[in-house]
Amino acid sequence: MIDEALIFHYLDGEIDDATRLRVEQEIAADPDLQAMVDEHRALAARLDRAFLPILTAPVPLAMSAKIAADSNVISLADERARQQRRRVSQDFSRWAAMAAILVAGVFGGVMFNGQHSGLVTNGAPPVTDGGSQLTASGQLNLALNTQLASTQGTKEPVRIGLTFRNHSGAICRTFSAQATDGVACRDGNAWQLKGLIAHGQTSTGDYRMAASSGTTELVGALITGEALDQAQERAALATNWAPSK
Amino acid sequence: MSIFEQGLEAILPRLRRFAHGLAANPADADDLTQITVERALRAKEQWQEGTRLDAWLFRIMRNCWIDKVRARTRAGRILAPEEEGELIGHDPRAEMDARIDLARLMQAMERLPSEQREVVVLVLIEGYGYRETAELLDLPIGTVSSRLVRGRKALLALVKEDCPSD
Repeated sequence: MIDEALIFHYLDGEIDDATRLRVEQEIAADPDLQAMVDEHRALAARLDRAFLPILTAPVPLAMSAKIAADSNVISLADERARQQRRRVSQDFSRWAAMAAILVAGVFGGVMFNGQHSGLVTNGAPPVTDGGSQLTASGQLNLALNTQLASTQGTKEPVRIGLTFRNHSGAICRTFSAQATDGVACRDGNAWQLKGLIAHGQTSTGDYRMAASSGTTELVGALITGEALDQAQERAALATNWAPSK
Repeated sequence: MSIFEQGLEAILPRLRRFAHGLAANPADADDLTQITVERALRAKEQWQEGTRLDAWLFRIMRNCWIDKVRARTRAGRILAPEEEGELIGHDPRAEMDARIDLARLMQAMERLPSEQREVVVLVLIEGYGYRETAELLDLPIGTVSSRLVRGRKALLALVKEDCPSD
C-alpha cells in the first residue's frame, strides 16, 4: 500500500516526475485508491468553484474607501491647511466654474432635452452660489432632504447613493444625476456641495447606483465609520439630518 | 496611491476569499477582511517593498483570525448558527447554486480544527504550494503536509455527511 500523504502530494502537484508515474500506476491498479483520488479531486474542484465568485464580486465600499482614505491622509496637517486656505481665499472662481459646469453642462442637458423637466422646478436652479460655497437647491435639495436610497424610484432625476457621517459628525450623501455624481454634506439646514464629478451622459436616464467610482475617493476622504444602513438612513431623515453629538 | 495601497487594493478580492475560507459565514468574513485592512494600513511601514505583499497580508489576516477564534473559545462559543438565507444572500452576482454550496462548505470547514482549516484554505482554495504555505504559517513543510492530509479527509467526511446522496 502506497503512502497516503504521497497521494495528496500527487493530487497537489507536489511531486517529481518519476514518483508521479509510480503513483499513477499504483492508482490505476487499485480501484479503491482510484475512488479515493476521484473523491478528493471532486472536493478540490467543488471548493474552487464555490469560492471563485468571491474574486469577482464587488468589494464592499467601506473596505476600498478605507484604503483610499488612508492614501489621502498622508499629511493630515497639510490637508487641513489646504482646506483652510481654500475656505478663506479666492477659490471662489473654481467653485463658480463648477457651478457653471453643473448648471449648464449637467442639469442643463436635462433642461435642453426636456426629459426630466421636473428637475428645474419652477425655474429654480439645482444649485445656489452663496459666495465661496455651493448650496444644493431646487430638485437636488429636495432629493437630498427627502429621498431614501432604499425606497427611491428608478426614475428619480436625482438618485441618492450612500449616506454617511464625516469627521465632524455631519451627515453627507452621495448623489447621481444625469451626467454628474457628487457629494453634499449637511450644514445647518442646507446641503453644501463637497464635490461634483461630471461623468458624461449615461444612456437613457440609467443612473448609477450608490457611489460611483468618481466619488469613491471623495467619500473615502470624508467618511468616518461605516456608511449608514437602511434603518440608520431613515433615522437620520427623522432627525432632519442632524449632526451626531 | 502608494505602491502599498495599490497592492492592497489589488489583493483585496483574494484576501476576501481567504477570509471566507477561514470565517464561519460571509458577514464574519467581511468583518475579518475589514479588520485585516485596518491592521495592515496601520502596520504598513513594516512591509518591505520587494517582498511578497500577498503573503504579508495573508499572515496578518490569519493572525487576526486566530485571535478571534481564541477569544471566541474563551467566551464559550455562544453564537447561534446563521440562517442559511443570510449566508447566501450575500453576493448577488454569483450563481445561486454556488452560493448555497459556499454556505455549506463554510459550515463544514468551520468544524475543522483551525490548524487544519488554514492549510486546507491556503492550498486547496488559494492555490499556494506546500513550501509557500509553510513559510506563510511559519511551520515545517512536513507539518503542513500532515495537517493537509487530516484536514481534507475530515472535510470530505463532513461534506459526505452533509449530502449523503452525493
